[in-house]
Amino acid sequence: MLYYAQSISRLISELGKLPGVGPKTAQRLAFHLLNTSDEEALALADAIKEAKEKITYCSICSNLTDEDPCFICTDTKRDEGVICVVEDPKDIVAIEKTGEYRGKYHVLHGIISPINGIGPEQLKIKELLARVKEKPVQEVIVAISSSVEGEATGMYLAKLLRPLGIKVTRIAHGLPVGGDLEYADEVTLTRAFEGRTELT
Amino acid sequence: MRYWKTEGVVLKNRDYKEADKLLTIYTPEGKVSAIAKGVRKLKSKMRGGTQLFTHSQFVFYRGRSLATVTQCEVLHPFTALRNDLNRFACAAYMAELTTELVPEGEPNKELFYLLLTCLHLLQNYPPGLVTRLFEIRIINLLGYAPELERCLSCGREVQDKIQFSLDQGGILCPHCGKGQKLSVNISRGALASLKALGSMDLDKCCRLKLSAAHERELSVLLGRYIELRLEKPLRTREFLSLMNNSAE
Repeated sequence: MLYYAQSISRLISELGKLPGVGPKTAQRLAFHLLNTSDEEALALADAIKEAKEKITYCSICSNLTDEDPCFICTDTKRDEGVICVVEDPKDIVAIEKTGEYRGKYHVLHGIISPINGIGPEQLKIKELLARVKEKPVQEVIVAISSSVEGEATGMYLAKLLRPLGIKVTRIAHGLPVGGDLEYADEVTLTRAFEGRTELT
Repeated sequence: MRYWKTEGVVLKNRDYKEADKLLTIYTPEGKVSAIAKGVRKLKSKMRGGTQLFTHSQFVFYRGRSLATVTQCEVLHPFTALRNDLNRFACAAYMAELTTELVPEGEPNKELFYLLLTCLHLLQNYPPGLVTRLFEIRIINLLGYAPELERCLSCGREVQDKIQFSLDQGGILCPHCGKGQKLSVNISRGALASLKALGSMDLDKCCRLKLSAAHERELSVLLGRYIELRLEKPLRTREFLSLMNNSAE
């Protein structure tokens, strides 16, 4: 049955494909867009178009970027000798917010998960290897989630990189800031004990 | 009862929505697909218990299509499987076998304890041996047990040049095996090991000595046998062989 003009129902169905947007929200968004000024609505369309056209993978770190190489890879103030390996471009944002890290990044775009059919070939591991062979680094920091698959990915990287004389480290696992000990699981607590630091 | 409590092993997890995970959990009551809400957040209390290969106590809420995990507590985290790539690959393979071979909601206590025992064994014993043990036991339990004593078609005992028929499921004498497309050679040693793995007590099995050559032979044979039953390739085998090759 046709409730809307065809172009409205097309807009609703397109919006409904977005994550977290159900039919009712899609409808509300569509009517909102129709009620806003032409410039505003077209600015959204334009932003989507531009992002889709311009965003590519950085040829060095595989991060999403609109200019190649990306702004982090071209930043000369950053330490070239350290590469932080992350799972997802969003993780870079999280680490950058801390303002603590001044090295470069490498995005894998996933983690090894044999059960879900994701092996090392599907990730940007070849790119990382080529990168460190071309321009030697002292350290590779693995900043991947501490899930079982994440740790397997880290171990796999270590196995590949260590023979090249690169120090491979993993970010610490332990208690979250402000976390209660009683709610921490055994694995986390064990890791927290392993990675304890001396109080000075 | 809309709520039920059971132990289980997490076989598979997949990210879902913003912070949820879709889990496949194997319990003594069968395979359960469940959603665990908010477990990717740092503050979630269920993060530990819903990690891959973890043996946990779960409380589920029965929904219309999926169950929801409402509580969970770790019983055994299998940390050793996280620290060794080869063991990780074997555990992933065992998890895939269970996920693929067993339909949802079919209670099988024996299979649950087999999986649990094998995960425990995998922490300390040679991964290849434990994986072969799991393979032969799971196909035996699910009714795909191959005939290993006598030739399938003539019933005679086979002394040498033994063939293993992948489609008929069992050994063939050289005469009956002639011209069979889906049969492979199996050495006497490998056959003896396979028999032992299938019949001995689980806790004694791990003391068996399985030579590397026999291990490889059985790995290929059982893998093909299972894939033929499943009618599709197993995803984890590729990763497993990658790990094995680089370990040598």
